[in-house]
Amino acid sequence: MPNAGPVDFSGVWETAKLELVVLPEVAGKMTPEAQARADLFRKLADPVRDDPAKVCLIKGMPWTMLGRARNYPTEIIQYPDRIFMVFELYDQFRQVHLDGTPKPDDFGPSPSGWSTARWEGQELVVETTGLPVLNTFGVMQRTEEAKVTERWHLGQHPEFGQVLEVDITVDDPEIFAQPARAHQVFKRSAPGVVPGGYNCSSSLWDDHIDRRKAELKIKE
Amino acid sequence: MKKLALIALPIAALAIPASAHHSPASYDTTKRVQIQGAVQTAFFRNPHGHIDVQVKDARGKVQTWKVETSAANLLRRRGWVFSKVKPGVTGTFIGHPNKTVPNDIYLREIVFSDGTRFGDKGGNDNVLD
Repeated sequence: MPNAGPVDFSGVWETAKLELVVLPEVAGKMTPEAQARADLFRKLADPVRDDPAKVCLIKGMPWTMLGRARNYPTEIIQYPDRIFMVFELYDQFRQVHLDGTPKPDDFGPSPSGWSTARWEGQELVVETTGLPVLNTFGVMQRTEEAKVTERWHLGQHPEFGQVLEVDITVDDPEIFAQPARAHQVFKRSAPGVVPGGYNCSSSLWDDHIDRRKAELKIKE
Repeated sequence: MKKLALIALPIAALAIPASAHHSPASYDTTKRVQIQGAVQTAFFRNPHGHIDVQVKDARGKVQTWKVETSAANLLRRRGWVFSKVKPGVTGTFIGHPNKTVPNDIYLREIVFSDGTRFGDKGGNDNVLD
């Protein structure tokens, strides 16, 4: 399928190296209120029981793009008017509107939000809004006012060959005192690798059933 | 049935890891232990799986060890064949010990009694996923 843009990002990618990932909550300067919430969470939370991965939490943008786990493929399918992204991790999905289709007035906040993009030379600039509140008590926080700007470009890395670099800026004035920076480097996945299903929530259901069986004293 | 023996020895000190998909907070990734035993139950799923392993301690008493695994999708790509990990199968299970809970490890490698080995592709030992 031909793409109309100056760069074709199509293909299967994965996080190149977790040490190359820059997170906004680490690199950015939080507002005093947001910082206080993050500090309180760090102080009170049980790092084992309160791990969001244990409840299959989909944090959404910008963290959708900032996965640090290795070997999880993300496929980019690029059409002239739209880019689709399929993430194996947590079965996530994004659409980037290259034709500038505006966010509908009745668009409900969702973890991927509404993304539009424009080309600046060889760089794709993606802007995302329409994101829901995340974590009023936690380290990774977001309000509905958040705007995430990504700048995608292809590059070469001495270890990984062709890479897709994504520079991210998070504008969320109630969370960050100034726009927070984030960064991701994707490498090409090995030939034949495709995104599979993650099906995280089935483990939650299994755990629920185990608890209910115990409550109801059901033995198999 | 082969005699099962409990061995819990630190194998190597590794670099302190950065956190990955799953918080490694509950496991001491600077240490490795190995246990020998028989699979009682095994569930491979995302974000993590788990195996119960029956292990005889030094006094001959059978204890159940909890073995947490990486995500099923990742293990498949690393060549793990889940049907191999079925109840009754014996082998050596190598992983990081839980910092506070006894008889609980985060699995990195299995060496079955028939010599089959399921490991961590790429040897990236400083990441728990």
